[in-house]
Formats: sequence, C-alpha cells, structure tokens
Amino acid sequence: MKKIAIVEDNLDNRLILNAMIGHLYALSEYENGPDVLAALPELKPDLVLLDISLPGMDGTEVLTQIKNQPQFQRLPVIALTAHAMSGDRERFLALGFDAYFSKPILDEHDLIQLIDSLLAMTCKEHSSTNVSGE
Amino acid sequence: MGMNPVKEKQKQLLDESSLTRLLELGGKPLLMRMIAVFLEKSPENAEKIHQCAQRQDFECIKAAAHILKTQAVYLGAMELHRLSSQLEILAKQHQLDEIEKLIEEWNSTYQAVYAALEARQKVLGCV
Repeated sequence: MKKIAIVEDNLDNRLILNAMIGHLYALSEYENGPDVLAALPELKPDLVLLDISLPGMDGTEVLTQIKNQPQFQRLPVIALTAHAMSGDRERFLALGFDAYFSKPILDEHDLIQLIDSLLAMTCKEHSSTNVSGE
Repeated sequence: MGMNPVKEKQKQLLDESSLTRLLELGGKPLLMRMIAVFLEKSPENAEKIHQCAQRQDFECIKAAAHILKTQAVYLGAMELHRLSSQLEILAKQHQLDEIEKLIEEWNSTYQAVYAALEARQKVLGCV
C-alpha cells in the first residue's frame, strides 16, 4: 500500500479524507508543518497532501522545506486549498506543487484519480532513472 | 397539502443528502463522529465570532468563520455554510458594519443547526 502523509489542521477534513481514501493508501496525519517535516525522513511517504492555510508555518513554506531536501525533491505534493479561484492552478504549480485539490473535499473519485496519476508518474520516473542508470 | 412548517424549517437546516453521503462514506461511526466534533468544537468558534467582532479582530473572525463553514458543508447545514462564508468574506474586507448586521441571522441559524444536530445525535444513538 502506498504511503500518504496528510498535513491538515482541520479535523473534519482529516476525518473525511480518512473515510474517502483510508482503505486505499496508508495514511499518516499531521496537524502542522514542523510535525510532518520531522516525520518525513523515517516515514518516506509516496505522496503528500498539504493544506495551504496551516497555523504557524503555512503550506508553501512547508513545501519549500520538503523540496529543499534532496531525497524529497521528486516527492509529489498536492496542495489542499479552500481558495479555489481562477488562476490558482497555475499559481500553485508555479510555487512547486505537483497539483492542487480544492476543499471542501466532496468527490473522492477525482481525488483518487489525481493521487493515482501522480503516483504513476513518479513510478515511471523511477523506472526510467533505474534503466538509464544501469 | 403543504409541508409542516417545522419540518420544512428542519429540511432547510440540514440537507439529508449530505448526511446520507457521510453514511455511505464511513457508515454510522463517521456520521456520529462528525456530529460530535461539531457539537464539541463549534461553540468555541461561535463564541469567538462574537468576541472578535466586538474587538474588531478581522483575522480572528475570518479564521473562526472558515472552520464553521467547513463543518457546516460536510454536515449539510447549507444555510449556515452560506452565512459563515459571507462572514469570512466580510472579515477579509474589514466590513465591520456588514458583519454586525449579519451576526444576528448567523447566530440564530447556528443555534438552530446545533439543536438539530443534537437531536440527530440522540436519534442515531438509539438506532
């Protein structure tokens, strides 16, 4: 089972995410940036779902700190945001997120599709790196 | 024959399809938990909205309204969701007069939703 780190301070969103995707992926939950940053080296997740509006260190700062670590540069990170406005997709991609998903989380099919597409992409990258690295 | 006014009001307060959706997603445990979280956590944020409006702390109103908005939408309290979203927007715009005008309506809706969810929790606890 692929491992996903959820970084979300809102308990309702965590409960919903667990109900929607908890049977498909091994979920680890964190309420803030420092906690997930401390856990990453041991957890080694396959993907991160990262809330933008976190208390203290916000999601974009957490993303920067994740991507600054060489072993996590290619770790897919999806921004979870309540600010779904036109231009958001481009803005979040420009910040370095691999994708974004708007809250409230009402459709698990779209979310699962997005997660699986990013996991498949990472898997392909790994395969091609291994082949070319031979 | 028209719908009983009390039932009609309750129908507006909680959208049954949202509650059914929670049941489909996580069964009775998820629905019970989401209701329990609302009943336990929302009074603190509801109180914050009043206190923060009094001291004109717009960031604080925005944060409390944002949390209540999320709780409301998952539980199908669509009118509370709409009013909380409005409060959040007004707080972003620092529109104190408009916030004060809206708070009474927001509060009566919040109290009604709280009572409806409390009643629902009791029913769920019996079946």
